[in-house]
Amino acid sequence: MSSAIRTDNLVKRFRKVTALGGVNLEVPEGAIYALVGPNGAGKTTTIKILMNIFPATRGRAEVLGADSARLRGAAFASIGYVSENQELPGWMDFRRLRDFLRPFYPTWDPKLERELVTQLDLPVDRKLSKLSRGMRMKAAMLVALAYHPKLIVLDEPFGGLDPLVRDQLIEGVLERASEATIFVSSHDLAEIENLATHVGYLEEGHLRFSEESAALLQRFREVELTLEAPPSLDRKCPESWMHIAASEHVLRFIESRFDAERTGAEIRALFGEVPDVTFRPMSLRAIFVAMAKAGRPSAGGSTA
Amino acid sequence: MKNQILHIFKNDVRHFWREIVLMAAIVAAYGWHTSTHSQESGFDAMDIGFSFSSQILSLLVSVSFIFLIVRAVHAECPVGDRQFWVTRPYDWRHLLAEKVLFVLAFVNVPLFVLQVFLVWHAGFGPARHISGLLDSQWQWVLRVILPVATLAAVTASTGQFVLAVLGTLVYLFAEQALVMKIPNTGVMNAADIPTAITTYGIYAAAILVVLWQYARRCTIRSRTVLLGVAAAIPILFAVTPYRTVIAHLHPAPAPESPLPVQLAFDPVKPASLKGGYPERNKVHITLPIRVSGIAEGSKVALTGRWVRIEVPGGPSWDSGWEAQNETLLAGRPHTSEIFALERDFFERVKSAPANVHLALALGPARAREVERVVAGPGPFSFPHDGKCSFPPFARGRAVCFFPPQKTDWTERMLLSAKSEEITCNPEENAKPLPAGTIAYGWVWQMGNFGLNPVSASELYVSDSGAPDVPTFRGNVCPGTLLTVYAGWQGGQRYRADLEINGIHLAEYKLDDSVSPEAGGFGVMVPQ
Repeated sequence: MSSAIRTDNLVKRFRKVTALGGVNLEVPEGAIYALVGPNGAGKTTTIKILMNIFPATRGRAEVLGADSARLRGAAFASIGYVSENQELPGWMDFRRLRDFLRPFYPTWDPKLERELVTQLDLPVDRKLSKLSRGMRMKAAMLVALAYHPKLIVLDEPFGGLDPLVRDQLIEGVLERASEATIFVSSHDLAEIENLATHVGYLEEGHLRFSEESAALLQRFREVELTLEAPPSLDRKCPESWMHIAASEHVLRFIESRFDAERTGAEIRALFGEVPDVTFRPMSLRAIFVAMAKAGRPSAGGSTA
Repeated sequence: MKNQILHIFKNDVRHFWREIVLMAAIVAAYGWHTSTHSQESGFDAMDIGFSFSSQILSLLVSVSFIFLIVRAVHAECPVGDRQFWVTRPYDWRHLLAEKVLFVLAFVNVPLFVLQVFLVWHAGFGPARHISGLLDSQWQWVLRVILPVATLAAVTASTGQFVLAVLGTLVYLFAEQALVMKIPNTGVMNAADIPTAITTYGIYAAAILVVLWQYARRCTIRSRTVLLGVAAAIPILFAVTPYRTVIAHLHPAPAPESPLPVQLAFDPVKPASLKGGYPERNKVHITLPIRVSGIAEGSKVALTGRWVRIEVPGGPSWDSGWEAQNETLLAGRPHTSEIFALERDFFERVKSAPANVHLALALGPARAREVERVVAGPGPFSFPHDGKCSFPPFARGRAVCFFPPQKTDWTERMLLSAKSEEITCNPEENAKPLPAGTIAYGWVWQMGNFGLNPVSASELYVSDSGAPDVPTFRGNVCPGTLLTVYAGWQGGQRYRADLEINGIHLAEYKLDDSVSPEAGGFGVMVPQ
């Protein structure tokens, strides 16, 4: 499968601050890739380099097979970019914005546009500057989707929106998923965990890992052991075990490289036969919280 | 998209229609106001109200043009990382072309229409003076539109733009002050080379920055280029070898070559040493010079002077090249070179015989056009398509209006009248000019940069060449026969050296004491 986005050792410095410290990222075509990480991790910087809004200090990025540093003009006819901090022409109402943008895009689909207006319940004759933040995001989203872009790039699109608007936008995006690669950044995984097929975790300018959501969900488990005697934590536990905590006869930890047979064998090697072992699947949100608290790269997966 | 330029242009027109209407209203107000009052402008000193409103309207027209340019550029601002347009399929060449089209449509065209109207209203045929009108447009592009567009292209908001303009103005004042402190720069033509380099450098940098901003949006680099050019200008002026340039521009003449003017020290000591003025640690010395040999219809511009004083067995003093702005004319046999000298040096050498070496940078020119004109009493024509009359508002003075012409910044026409051909009645207590005196006057044809392309000039003649004769300044009256010289053709510039030996500087020092009757304040009235 070819890549819609690929970065090679992407570095960005703002004077003495290193915003990105060598990011290697690959987004397969057709994926819904969620780039997550805390505020200030470098997500928006990454996207702005990908969109050629500013250049990288070092490294290279490719977007739809083209060098992102040369991305301009007609190349944007295949890309839909929506950002929470992008300035819209506030003097226009949506109808005027649509009329202005339509001729730029040979693939503009008026039928899709009408559907989206209905679906997103967008007031078309009110100036954009008079719209609420949620409505402005809807307008931005609509004019980024109506021309069937091959790549949809969303930078923190749902932050601060009420659940109804957020769901409407997510629904709108998901309906395009079959025809486009979607790259979405967020600091709140709950917003996007249900739609992402791939996830990357960016922290302090470094991509801690990047892999398919399913694989990630598969390899993380909350493990609970009920032992006959209080467990001793002096034993050397496998590196893939995180947040090990013991209380009386119960030992809990997070396994970041879960494999039922191997994990079971490791448990037996340390504690012998354990009468009660529970492996609980984790949500993406729980995985990221655990990782953020651990403050270390996870074992396994494709790390950068 | 085929018609991206027109598509964005229409969008900008919709966006800025209020600003466009306001600009059109201001331009129309200026046109109406100027066409109904302009003839009085500058000639009716009592009409302060008109002058003020005219200035305000001129300012408003310029500001409305500048504001439109800035708004148009900032509509798709090249600065920043949040603009809507940068991730849309804009072709930067089309966007830049659209901005050029917008400026053409809403700055150049209204200005052109305004100027055509003013030219027509003044009684000139616009079609006949189209080259002057187009030259005016070009001056606007170079002096206003390009600089404004450049600053707009490297700023993100109107506030930032205003700050950039203020910064530029402060820089220009500082740079001028700095350059004026560099010796020899004031001598005409000496600074031509650095001036030409900096002028072309500024325009090249401005064009580069605009292109760069639209093509790549490299704001930091663009700003660095502009700051670099700003820093390089004073350095260039500082390192230019002016003495070498002046020596090259004004070589010593070949021994046998005929000179357009003969200059000699006048051994007759000045009868009056009035005219000095107090200056801290300075005294002013006047050296009388005899002038001869200038052919009628010629002039010799004196653009620089270098004085070296040596006292045998004593100290010496060297002025370096200093700027001069004087014109030597036929029939004016006297002039004087007045220079400031350090008081300490003067006190040490004033009574000793001193040798003075005086070098003068001269630029002769000959008029290719000579025309005789009889003034009035009704409307009369003047060279260079001038239309002259004695309008009531001018209170007996002759006033000429000129259409725009493709000329240098200013074109001066020289007019002369023999004293016996001046028909004005002498004013009360006025001393008549001695018979045979030639009185001269200048007619300034302003360049084409400005809102009103029709320039106005008053006709007058004066004489300031004869010592001991108070400067005469007289009007041209109906019936006065004038000779007008224009179309100057420059001759070989050269340097004249005068050796003046054994003079006592004390005998040439101008009186700089303030007379007790004069009181605490003095007012200089231009003559």
